[in-house]
Amino acid sequence: MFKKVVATVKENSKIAAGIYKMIIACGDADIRHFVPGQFADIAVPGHAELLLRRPISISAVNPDNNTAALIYQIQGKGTDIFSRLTPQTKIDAIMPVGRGFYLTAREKTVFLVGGGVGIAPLLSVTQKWPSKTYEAFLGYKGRDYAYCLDDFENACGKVIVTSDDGTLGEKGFVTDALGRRLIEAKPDIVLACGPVPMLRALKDILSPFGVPAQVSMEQRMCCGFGACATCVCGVDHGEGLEYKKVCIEGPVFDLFEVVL
Amino acid sequence: MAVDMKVTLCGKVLKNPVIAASGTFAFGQQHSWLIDVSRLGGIALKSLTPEKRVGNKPPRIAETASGIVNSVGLQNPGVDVFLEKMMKRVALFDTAIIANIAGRSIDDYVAVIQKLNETSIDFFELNISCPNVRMGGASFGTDEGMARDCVMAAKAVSKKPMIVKLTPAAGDIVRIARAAESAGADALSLINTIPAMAVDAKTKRPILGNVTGGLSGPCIKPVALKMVYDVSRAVSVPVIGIGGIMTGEDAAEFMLCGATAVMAGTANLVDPEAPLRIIDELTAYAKTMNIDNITALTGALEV
Repeated sequence: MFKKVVATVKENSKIAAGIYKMIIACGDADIRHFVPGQFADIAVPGHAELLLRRPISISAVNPDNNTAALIYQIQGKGTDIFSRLTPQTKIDAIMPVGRGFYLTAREKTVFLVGGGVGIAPLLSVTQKWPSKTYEAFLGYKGRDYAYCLDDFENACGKVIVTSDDGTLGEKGFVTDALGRRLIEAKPDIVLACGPVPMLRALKDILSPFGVPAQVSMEQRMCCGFGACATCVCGVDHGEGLEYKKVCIEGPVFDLFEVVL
Repeated sequence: MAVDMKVTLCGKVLKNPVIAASGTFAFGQQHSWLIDVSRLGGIALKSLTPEKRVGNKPPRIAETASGIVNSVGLQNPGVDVFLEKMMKRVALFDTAIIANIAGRSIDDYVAVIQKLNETSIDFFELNISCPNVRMGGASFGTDEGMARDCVMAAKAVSKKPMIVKLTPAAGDIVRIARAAESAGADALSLINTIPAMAVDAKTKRPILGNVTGGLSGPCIKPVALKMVYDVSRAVSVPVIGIGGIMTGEDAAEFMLCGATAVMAGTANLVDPEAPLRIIDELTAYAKTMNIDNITALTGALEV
């Protein structure tokens, strides 16, 4: 269960163009039961005029020293302020929040598909379920935007990298690379996080193969703990459209039920 | 010196004047994971309609300077599912419970009230001011005649004190307040959010899926204070002040302007602990000001 905690910045550094990694000491948060896909909902310190917390995905946890790694992209004022936080800064966080990715014993081969900053939450999947066989399909804008590549190389049997400009790996969309691989090998499940156009393409590519997929959704968020019903996305279980809260009913949804 | 924080609203005693505003506290459950909800003076539940509402298309929230614009669109499970699945849990909170009621027609309001009359709910709050749905109440809140008809019909079937929630979009909120009072409103709460929008210049698109929404937060406090000041001097029923209350002093300001109690809204979403902090800060403020009974603040503005 999530808690409101005072966390402390331990490290905060740029790891790629516009992308930062912050290590925080998690205070009283319970990170032992962390599930990949969960996030921390962080108030912007010292800026009361920026009312809303920023939801930042947790890319890894270390229960031994009670720290979590947050990877985030500068999107606006709030995340720009985050990028300048120095070690020892206290931050007000509600964490860990959300229903994350879920793997059972049935899924043995897992394809991870990530785009841009959406690659970050996928890394902890390999940490949480180390006995699965993984292949990662990572799409970056270009070489300058790449991060965590070594981590994926270490954790996955195969890593296929694409970039928009061709400066890293194959030029083109990550979903096209996935499509070519699916002809050779079919996983038990796909776990994905990335921009909506990538998720749409993923849905189109997976449909004919009948491969199930879970996707982590992003939405403009207000409270981040389920009280306001603003951060919704459409879900259709076959009984008509419903809006589900991305914060506590997600952020991970079934790709074939969520409205993209 | 201990401060007596109790206030009386329509004959019912609240532990303190700080109430969670409707739509910012759901049905209390999420906040109860993080705070002791029973410490509040009261909680106003999310609007209930006769039928289930799926709500508006996302995005539903935009951050603006010291404020937020939302367009949830009264998403709620409908009064029947509320009664079946949520009322029992709500009744466990040891605080005043306010059921907020919304509808497209007078019949809708009447239907919801009749279904909730026999519950342990303490007050009804008639939402005639939601800016986010067509015929979602705001039309009742901006037209004197419609406001009167709606309040009268609701009062005729209600077995509980009736708070009427007013919109700042009314051309003259005092006229609507007087109409609601003459139709039998036992109290008035104001203000609901201010109709507003947020635009993304880079994409040339509105940020909200619904295009427009309602503005709340600290940026609306001065507007709300004036309306509370004007309305409380024009009516004799108690007024509940709402609008950007983030601190105990903000709450005190509304009481000075004539409010008997206050509702914190946006604050509950920014910080789940905010309502409790506001109570503590208001208590501390009263001590500093040598006030031993918080009710002494109501209308004590020195002009």
